[in-house]
Amino acid sequence: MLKNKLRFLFRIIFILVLLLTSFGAVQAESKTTADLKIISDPLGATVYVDGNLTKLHTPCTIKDLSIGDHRIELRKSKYRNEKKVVTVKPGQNSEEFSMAETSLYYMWLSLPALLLGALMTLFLTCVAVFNGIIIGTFTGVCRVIHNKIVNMAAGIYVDFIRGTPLLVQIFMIHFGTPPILGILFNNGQPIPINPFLSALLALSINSGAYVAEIVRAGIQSIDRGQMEAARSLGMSYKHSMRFVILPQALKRVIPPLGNEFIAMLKDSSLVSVIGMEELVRKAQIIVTRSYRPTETWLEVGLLFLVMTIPFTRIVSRLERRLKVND
Amino acid sequence: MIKVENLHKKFRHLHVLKGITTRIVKGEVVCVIGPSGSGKSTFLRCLNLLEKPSGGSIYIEGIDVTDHSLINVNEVRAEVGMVFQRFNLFPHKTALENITMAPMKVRGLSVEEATERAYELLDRVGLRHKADVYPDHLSGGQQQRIAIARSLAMKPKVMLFDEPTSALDPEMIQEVLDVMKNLARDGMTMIVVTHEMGFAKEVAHRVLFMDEGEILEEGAPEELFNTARHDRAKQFLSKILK
Repeated sequence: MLKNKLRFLFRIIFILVLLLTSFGAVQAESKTTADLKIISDPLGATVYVDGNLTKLHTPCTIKDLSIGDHRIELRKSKYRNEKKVVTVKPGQNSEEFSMAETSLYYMWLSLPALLLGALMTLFLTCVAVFNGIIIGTFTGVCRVIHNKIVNMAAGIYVDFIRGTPLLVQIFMIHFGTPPILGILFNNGQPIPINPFLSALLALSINSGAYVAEIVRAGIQSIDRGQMEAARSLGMSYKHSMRFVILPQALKRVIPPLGNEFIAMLKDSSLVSVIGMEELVRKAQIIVTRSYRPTETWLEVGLLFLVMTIPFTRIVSRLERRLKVND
Repeated sequence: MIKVENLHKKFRHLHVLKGITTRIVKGEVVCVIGPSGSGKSTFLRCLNLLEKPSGGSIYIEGIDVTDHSLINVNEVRAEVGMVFQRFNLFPHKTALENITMAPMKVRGLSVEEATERAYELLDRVGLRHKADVYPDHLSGGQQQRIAIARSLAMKPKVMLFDEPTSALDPEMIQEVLDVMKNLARDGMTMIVVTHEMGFAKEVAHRVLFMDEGEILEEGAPEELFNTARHDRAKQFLSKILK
């Protein structure tokens, strides 16, 4: 009896062991691992698998990953990383990561090139407005003196410039004049103008017309009595203009000149169309390479703002101060 | 010294001066009175050619100044000082610089000469202590006195005053009139457009009453004020002499 019972027990144990081992075998069969190949753009990123640093550098193959989902994280630098849940299947696995920079990091990276462009914009504006002041003061005086022909010539110049788009003026100078120059100096072969020169020329001529209007308004804002008083003392028109009217007019002209500078700073972006590499042109070039227009143009806008705001402040302060003096 | 013959001035269709004829001798003080719009100021401005006469002639010391082939306008003006209703001082110059500018630019005086002359004139108008002050910081009366000094600095042969006290607060009128009285006493030839009848009575040798571009009445102040012939003159005087 006891023997029988023992045998029965052994059998049960045997069967259990058998069952267990066979179950284990099945278990072992399903626990097989697979490899995961990781490629990334850019290469050389550190790989984290399920939160653990595996100290690999892409491209790489992670061996013996269990079948199923894994959280894979790639890090290139502080500002470039990508996380993904990758489902590993039996056999060969490969996954490609493309790590975008964060927007701020991208903007930081593109800043030096854009700053160079901004510098060029500032330079163009300064030179253009400086030339504009020289041209404009002369033209503005030409508009108020008593000489019909001079009045008319100055009037035509100012009306033409103020009545046509700056873009058209840029095209006229950059594309319109080379054939004329060619006919004059090069046997009909057009002489191309370098974009820098045409840009400066167009902006200066444009600014000159606007400054002329500012100067004219400044001169005419001076009380007529000033001219009469100077003339009644026997001073010539020229002397009265130079020693009495212009010194007073130029003081009043300073705030609107500041506004002209700000306007020119913004309008100078138009010379980008003839390939002058100022801020906007630089941004266009960067966008064609990076495909990130949102950040790039936002950054350009911010850079313009950084340049204009100090001048806006200065102008409004000047306006307030001159008002007190008047 | 000044002879005006049949002077006309038209602004387009507006006939402002209709044949003014008068004579002013050296050292004479002439007051011009009349209602507004009667052409007093225009007459004065024609005398130093701030307005170009449309017809007639003006002789200053025998020279026809309306004949542009003969004269240089600037030379005429240098001899004819003018004081304006609104002073018209140069606001960007100090009182002293206001006075020295024209003598230096027109007469070619050196800085020292001009400054010396300016201080003499500042003494004369009693404003030496304001030499380095800008016009903004002067009262109306002080500004007008500086303006008178500025004109005198050119040593003009005749002084024109275009309502010199009309833009002043009442308490400042007297200081300007006092300067003008002293000037008259010193023998300056003066033509004064004014509404200050007291000044006219006291100082003027002769008063011209103008209306609608003509000289209606002319005579010594007392005589004119008391025995005006024309109704318009009587009306005007009765209003102003109250």
